[in-house]
Amino acid sequence: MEIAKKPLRKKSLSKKPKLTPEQKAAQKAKTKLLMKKNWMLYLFLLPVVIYIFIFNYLPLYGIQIAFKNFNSGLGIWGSPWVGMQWFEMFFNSPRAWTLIKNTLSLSFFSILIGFPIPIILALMLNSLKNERFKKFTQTITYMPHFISVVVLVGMITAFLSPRSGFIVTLLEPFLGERIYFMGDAKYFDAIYVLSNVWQSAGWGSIIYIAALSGVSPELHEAAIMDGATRFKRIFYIDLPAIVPTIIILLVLRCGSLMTVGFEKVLLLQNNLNLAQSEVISTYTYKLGLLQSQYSYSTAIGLFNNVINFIILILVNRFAKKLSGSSLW
Amino acid sequence: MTQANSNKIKDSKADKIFYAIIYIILAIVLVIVIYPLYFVVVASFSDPVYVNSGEILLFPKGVTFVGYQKILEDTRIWQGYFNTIIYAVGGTVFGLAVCIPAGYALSRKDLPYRGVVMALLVFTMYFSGGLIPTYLVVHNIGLMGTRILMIIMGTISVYNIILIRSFFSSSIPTELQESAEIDGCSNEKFFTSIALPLSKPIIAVIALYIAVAQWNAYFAPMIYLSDSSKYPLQLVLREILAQTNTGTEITDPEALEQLNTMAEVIKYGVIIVSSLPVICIYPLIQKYFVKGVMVGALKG
Amino acid sequence: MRKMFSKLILASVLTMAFVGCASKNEAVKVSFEKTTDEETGREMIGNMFVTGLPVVKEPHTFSVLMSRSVNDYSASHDEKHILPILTENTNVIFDIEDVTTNMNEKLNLLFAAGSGLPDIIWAQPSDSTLVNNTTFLFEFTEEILREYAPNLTSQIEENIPEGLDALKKADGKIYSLPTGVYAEYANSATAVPLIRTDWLEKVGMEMPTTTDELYEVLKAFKTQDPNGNGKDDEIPLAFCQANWASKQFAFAGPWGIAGRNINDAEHYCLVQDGVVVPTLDTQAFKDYLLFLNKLAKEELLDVEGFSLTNAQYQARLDENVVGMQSTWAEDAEIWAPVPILEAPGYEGKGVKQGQNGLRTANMNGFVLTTSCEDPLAALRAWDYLHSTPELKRISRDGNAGQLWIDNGDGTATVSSPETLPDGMTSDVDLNYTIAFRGLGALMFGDDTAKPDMNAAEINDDVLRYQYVDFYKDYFLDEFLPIRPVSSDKLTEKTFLQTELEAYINGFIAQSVLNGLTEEQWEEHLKQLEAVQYDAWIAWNQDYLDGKF
Repeated sequence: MEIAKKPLRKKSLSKKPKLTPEQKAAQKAKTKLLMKKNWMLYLFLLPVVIYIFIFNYLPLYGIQIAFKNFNSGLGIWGSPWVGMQWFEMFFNSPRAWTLIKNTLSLSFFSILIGFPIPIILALMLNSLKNERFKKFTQTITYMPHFISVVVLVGMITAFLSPRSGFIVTLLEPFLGERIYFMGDAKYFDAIYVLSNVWQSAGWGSIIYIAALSGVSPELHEAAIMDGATRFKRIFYIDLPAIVPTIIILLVLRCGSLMTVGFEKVLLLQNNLNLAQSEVISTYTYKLGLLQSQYSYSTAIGLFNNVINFIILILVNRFAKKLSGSSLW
Repeated sequence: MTQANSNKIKDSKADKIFYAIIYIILAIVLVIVIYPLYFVVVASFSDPVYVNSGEILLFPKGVTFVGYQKILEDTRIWQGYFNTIIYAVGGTVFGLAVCIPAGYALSRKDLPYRGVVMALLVFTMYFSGGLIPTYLVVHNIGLMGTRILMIIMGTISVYNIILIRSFFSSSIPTELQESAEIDGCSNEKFFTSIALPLSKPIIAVIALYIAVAQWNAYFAPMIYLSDSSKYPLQLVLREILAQTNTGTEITDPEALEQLNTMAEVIKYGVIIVSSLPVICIYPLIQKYFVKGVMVGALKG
Repeated sequence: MRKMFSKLILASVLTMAFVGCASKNEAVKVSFEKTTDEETGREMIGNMFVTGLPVVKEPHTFSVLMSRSVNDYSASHDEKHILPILTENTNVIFDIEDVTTNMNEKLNLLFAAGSGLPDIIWAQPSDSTLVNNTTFLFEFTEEILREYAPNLTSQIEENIPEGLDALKKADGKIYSLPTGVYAEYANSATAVPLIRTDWLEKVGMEMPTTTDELYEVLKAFKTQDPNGNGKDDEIPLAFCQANWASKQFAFAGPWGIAGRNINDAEHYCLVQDGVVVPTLDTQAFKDYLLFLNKLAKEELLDVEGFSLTNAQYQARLDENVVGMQSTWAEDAEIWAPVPILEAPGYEGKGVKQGQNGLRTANMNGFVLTTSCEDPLAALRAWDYLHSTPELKRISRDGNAGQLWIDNGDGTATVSSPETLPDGMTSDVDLNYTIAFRGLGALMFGDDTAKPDMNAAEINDDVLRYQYVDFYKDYFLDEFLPIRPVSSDKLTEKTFLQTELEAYINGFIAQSVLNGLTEEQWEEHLKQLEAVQYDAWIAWNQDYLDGKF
């Protein structure tokens, strides 16, 4: 079915510019007919559209803060325009490019390691035959999601302390010394990403486990008859079933490349790893929220999201071409 | 036609190796995940001095229940629990009722302008007006400080709608819908009697997502609620933990020193007290991830 | 379809306009028209008597937004000893609503929405929160203050050299009244370097007087197992960047580098004869870093101080392994303050972080908003709290007999109750529960209860006085002033300082951990240029010179 879809879509895409007036009219009539026939579906959409309009589109005028010198006394409309001043300020900062580089490196590394692991975990869990062990493992791996960032970071620094940390002790025979992991910028990305994997792999695998439950057991039975091993069946049956989900999630994930949550980074930061750990979000947090520079942080946020949105559109287009799955 | 049947077939040698490897990997994963969880539990009733000095490895030291006592004797906690349950249950019901039909509608390829709607939704994931204008909107529609706001705020997420849409479009074949249409089945009928029963797994997942998000929410309540009797659990806990150390000017060093020790005593217990109920939901959700729910429908 | 979309857009534009022009609060018009009360013959403005008590004829309730302390165990603010006294004597009722966290964010949103503002903000908002929202704040002109807050005004003019000018914001107007102790003596030297005297005895050494001697002492701490547990687990010198009183700069005094308080940026420059002198490019700064690096190399300094959380650091202190630290106060039995050390080449240049007469008051404590219907009455009620030292003490510390004792000669002494109510762990808890502490009335000199220096038991209050006595001659004399600046100028400084701090924090940590070569020092000087250290210095010079 997937294969059949692809050329069809391509055709309709390439056909678009060459429409004759009659075809246009015919299509318009068809659209009208479909709209009329599916009026109920629009009703299904109505609550979401109203909600999004009220809570997301109405406040959108606040974006202008990025181009103004916001003063809460004057209000959003009354604050004076400053044009691109905040953007220029950011790019003139000697550290701007380091910040962008650090953000991208952390984000890229997070996707590279953090994205596939929940998928692998879900596939492994799905292939288990012992239901009790499977449910137990699922529940356990899901739990770290509920540990607060403050406590998580507290545990990380304690476990990695060169004086008393047990991870340092465990690694000592292999590395030959007690390494001060938190004191060296080169370990920062790894600490951040691996602790994230620990905390959210189980949580992230839930959606894949749900998607895998849609796979028909008959497909597996047929494959077993053909002599396919369990390992092969993962590749030819399970994986293809969750590919659409994987692609959608990957597209969304790539669309947040410029965003790294600041809370955990901020807590993991110290003067020794600052060279690697200062990212755009922590920098704007320090300037923007701590020092009340609302305009500046809005401007940087806007810059980030414009980049994110562009990446999303590109990746989405690419995914559409490659697999037929896409956001719109 | 179920698991039991396929189990009867003997595993091949390759499969045996495969299972052995999987079990080994998962056992390692379990150890890695369980240890820090175990640490949190142990730390929650140990003297914070030992917790922070790295002396606790396997067994609690300086056993004390002061942390739990401090948390549980606070009456605000119970009110917070009550509120959180209202917001979580209400929010989940509301979120599902709105998002599931919307996700379904967007999955229908024969819906004109669905791409436009989709793009408009995705746009809001990236561009927002920020806190102040949102606050003004909430203020102007008269929902400030209400429980209703806590139930609806944040329970409709575009991310979830996208997941729902992609589930429907990949698991409900267009042919099925087309043939139903030929049989004279209306959209709403098809949705309620065919699409919904087929989508239990995604409903379960989205319900979990919304419930957990509501359970952990503290920012919106902090901004929009002023009546502390409406505070959800997480906000109450934040107030108890109160990381007040934000200003650069230190005005009361004695109080500051004391706060730090207080926070240490309760911070591990707080995790257990606040997350135990949500952890318990998961097994309930799991039972909807059963294999083979679609088989019958597809053949029919 | 297109029509539908354009309609939609039109509708949204209209709604946006509606949302944007949210109804702002109508500021209440304050009347100054005086009338005479028929019953009493007293002069009145509206419901308020111009002088004397009660302040208002009919009881008047003011809504108050207050930042609640986590140490506050009271079920309601009715438990605060001062409030019934206030109401009884003035007829004014303070109806208090609490905010525990994110006060500034909440206030900014309230101002943005322009409605639901309280009459009084009794908290500690940031300068920028006030300065950006002055349109919503009641302006205390000097005339108003003189007429309706005579006690407060005369006390301020008596005790503060600048007089009422000290209360002015950058626009030259007064929007807030200070609370708390104006200059708490015990707070004038925040971070105190302390050393284990019992360990000194064990290793048979004297209290060090030079940095070289300190090095030898720390070395002995490391090698001679002064805690006697047979393990090489001593941390001779500990610090923690995450603890406000234990940052590394606390040890820079011998090289002539010290600030008013322990904040890092305080140490980036000194003021000498009216000139702002940079420190970060000096030999003294370099020598200080080299000294720390020498200690770090020999494991005499715990370099983990850069990454430890405060809790982990505290745990180390409790482990009985630390020989020297910098902190607020510690058990006098075993910890003694280290005298100002002499560093080779810097003889006679040693200084101590701290400032004589350091201002500790909360300058933004009491604020009236434009929705307050009777600001003059609120001001008169506030002034009532300043009419006697006793009322001030009750507002700060509660009724006499618990946390303070009246000496009968106009002074008071700090006391500590024998037992604390259930659940409380310290006098601080009790203090916040029965009174307002730092949010209480403004206090000067003898208004504040003093610790009993002759008491048998030396508590932290006494210790703090002893520490300050010990160090006060080594405080620097000149500092940058503390004065509000316009938001544009503040923005300028914020940007410069954020860059500078980010660079310097990393540089210091790297130098202490890995050493500092000549090349690295040269590179550091270049980096200082890149982060515009000179511009930061120039900004401070202009600030010192009063150019803005």
